[in-house]
Amino acid sequence: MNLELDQATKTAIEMIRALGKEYLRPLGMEADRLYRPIPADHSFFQMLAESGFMARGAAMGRDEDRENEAGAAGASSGQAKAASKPAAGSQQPAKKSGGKRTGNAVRGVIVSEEGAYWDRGAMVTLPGPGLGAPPVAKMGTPEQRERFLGIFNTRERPLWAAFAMTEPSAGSDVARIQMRARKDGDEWILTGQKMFSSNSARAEWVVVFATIDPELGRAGHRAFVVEKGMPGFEVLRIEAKMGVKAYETASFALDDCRVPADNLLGSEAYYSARANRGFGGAMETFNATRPVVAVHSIGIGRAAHDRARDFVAEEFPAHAARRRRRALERLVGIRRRLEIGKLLCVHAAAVNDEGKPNGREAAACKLYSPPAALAAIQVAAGIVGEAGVRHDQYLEKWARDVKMLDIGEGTQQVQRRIVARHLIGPDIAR
Amino acid sequence: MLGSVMLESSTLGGYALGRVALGEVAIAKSFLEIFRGLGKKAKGNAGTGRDAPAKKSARLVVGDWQEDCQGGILDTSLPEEIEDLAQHARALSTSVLRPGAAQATDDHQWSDAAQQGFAELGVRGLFVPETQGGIDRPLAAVVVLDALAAGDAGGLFLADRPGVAAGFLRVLPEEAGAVELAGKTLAGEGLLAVSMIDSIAFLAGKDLASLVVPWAPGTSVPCALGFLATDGLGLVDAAGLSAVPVLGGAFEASGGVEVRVTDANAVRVFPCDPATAFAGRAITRLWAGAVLCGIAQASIGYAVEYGRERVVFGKPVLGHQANAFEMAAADTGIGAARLALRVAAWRFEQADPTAAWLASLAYLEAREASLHATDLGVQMLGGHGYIRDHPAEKWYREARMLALLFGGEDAALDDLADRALDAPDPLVA
Repeated sequence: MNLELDQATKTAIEMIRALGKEYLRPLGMEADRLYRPIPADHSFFQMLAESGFMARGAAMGRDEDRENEAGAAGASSGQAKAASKPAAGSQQPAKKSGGKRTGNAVRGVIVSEEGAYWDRGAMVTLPGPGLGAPPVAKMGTPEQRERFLGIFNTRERPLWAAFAMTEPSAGSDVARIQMRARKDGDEWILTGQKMFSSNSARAEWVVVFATIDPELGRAGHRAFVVEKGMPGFEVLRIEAKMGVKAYETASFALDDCRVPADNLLGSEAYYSARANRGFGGAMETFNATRPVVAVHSIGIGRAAHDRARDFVAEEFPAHAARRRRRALERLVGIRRRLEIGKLLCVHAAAVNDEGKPNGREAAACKLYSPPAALAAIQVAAGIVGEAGVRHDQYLEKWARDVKMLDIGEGTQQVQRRIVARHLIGPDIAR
Repeated sequence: MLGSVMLESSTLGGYALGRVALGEVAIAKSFLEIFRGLGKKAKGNAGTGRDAPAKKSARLVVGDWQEDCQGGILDTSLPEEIEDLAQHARALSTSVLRPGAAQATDDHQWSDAAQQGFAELGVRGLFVPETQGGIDRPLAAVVVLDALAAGDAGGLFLADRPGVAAGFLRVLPEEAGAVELAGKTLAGEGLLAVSMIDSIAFLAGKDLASLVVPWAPGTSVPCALGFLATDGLGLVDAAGLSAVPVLGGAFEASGGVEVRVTDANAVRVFPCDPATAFAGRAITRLWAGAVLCGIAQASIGYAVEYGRERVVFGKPVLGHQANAFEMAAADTGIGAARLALRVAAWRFEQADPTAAWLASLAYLEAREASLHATDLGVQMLGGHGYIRDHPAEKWYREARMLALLFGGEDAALDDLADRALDAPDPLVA
């Protein structure tokens, strides 16, 4: 056990904090007021691109690939070489040599929380592969990781990638997706609709989950990388959301969109190696992203806490001693659930960093954190009083923003179902 | 140059920064300053210097961060030796404590096998500092207590000495005889009773009639009574105490006495700074929180077994989503409390000044989670949960009793509220 922040993480937090204070919060507030996302050609994104901000997303999974390559090349015996190669049909980036944990998932959680503290919506617009990265890192071949994530090493212009699972008729129950994939020679033809996909309207590529046959259920799932400009890829609309308005949430259609066979994540071998690999890959993606999404809610909740705390410190005079004391106790209640929620997110990510299954932990942190944050904002607004209803006081905005996190990446009810299946058994808790 | 690039590309379709009124040039400049400044911090004095080209410095800093990120160290897993210890504790729990729990409740003591098994674990003094002859591994303590309480918490107050009183001993000054007192309790020669009070002023200004601890573990006069206040400690030796047996609402196997101070002159008072006192109170809460987690986990585990088998309205009790979902939430609450207790205990081992804060938060979480879980544990069994044929009612009683002892919710809230305006969050840096 070790929860001491290392210098790199502290530096990253400071960087995001500076960015957040100067840009994310004002941009997020402005987007909220204007009811429109921050445009892709905003100079803020160009600046980030030029400073190398996207490189972190580009590294996902590829560092391990390089290490494996180096390890395989340097190994003196055939046995050592074999051991360093992924198993047949497995495209998972192997763990760091010597079992050394990278800490990347935990660090991502810690830093993301700071970003969401300033503005969750604006943070999701930051250029990089975003939610598209985990499936490519987890399911893709080394070549695909190089091809799709490597482009984010550029400093020339901001780039985005995206992830698309939800459909108009399949949200929580992702096993029911209807997006069809048909093989035609060296290509796949994709047909169907996706919705609630963040940044996909501006993305260089989108990971799209589809089925080769809806009758097969989970066994029919496949993941494809659909690239910008591929014929048949049409953005239908940008959703008008209640909150987190700074980023685009898009619906798009694929109308007989032809995708090269090389864009099937993991290649055919990945799916034939084990049953339900496509669905499993999607679930693994969620297990990687849920702690991050959950901790976003903690960040928003902490912002609300700090707002109320400052209000108590500055505004409650000595003669309001009883009210002040009550407010302090309510602040403790907020802090308790936020701090513990963050620990749950860190824990879920730490298990992932260890290379162990973290489905239960990821669901638990996602089950716990958004309601905790929502309650925190409500209590904070109660402490601040009537000012809490004003748009320029942020609290009412945060109350709208945070609700998204109780839905996206699996609703609270989905998380309860997952935890229940682990606790009770899938034979009983269906 | 960067500024002009920004200006050229600032065709934003009416999109503005509003009241912040940051011009594009200003954005570019301040952003680069941020990165430049952070680079200096991250790399000591190896920054790029004031006159270095802005673009280059930004690139360098981001690149450096990438390198620094390799080999991160944040980790929530337990050390191997604690995992081993926990495994032994779980084995004792399932093979001896749980099967003997009902009998121990009737006998008002753990069986010989249970006491012997606990002694063989060698976990006494896990909260006690090495300078007092203890082992001083709070992380191991919370893990082991959790595991044992899942078997039978009933006799833990007596078996684990000084146990919950270790928080008091940790902050008791040497001149008060802390080492001797610790030695005596660790050797099993006496039981140290503790009570949490608001201020040591309470001890000085009160008559003897109010210096009463309504319930303390044990069957006779304790070897000493400790008062753990927010501003100091009070200590009364056995000579100044009396005890009469009382029946508590639970923990029958730990006995139960009402302890009275019989000699006002026997009360010794040791003022201390609030942070020290808070640490002592927080260690007490770690003990209680860990035991509460074990009790709650036992209750949920039993309800799961029962709810998988018992059929209502055509399917198992837990096949009904309303029940399964509530169990999932309860289990998540216990897991959350357990994790927080462990992290707080680990921070105590690191002498981290934030440890007491988190320990007290974690205690409140454990309290709430265990009250919820043990209530649910009875509820899932329906009428069967209410009768002694099943252990659910015992866990329900234990959680309610332990949640009230040692200051309960109010003392913890008081301690925390006093610090709510300036408590640091270590994970925010």
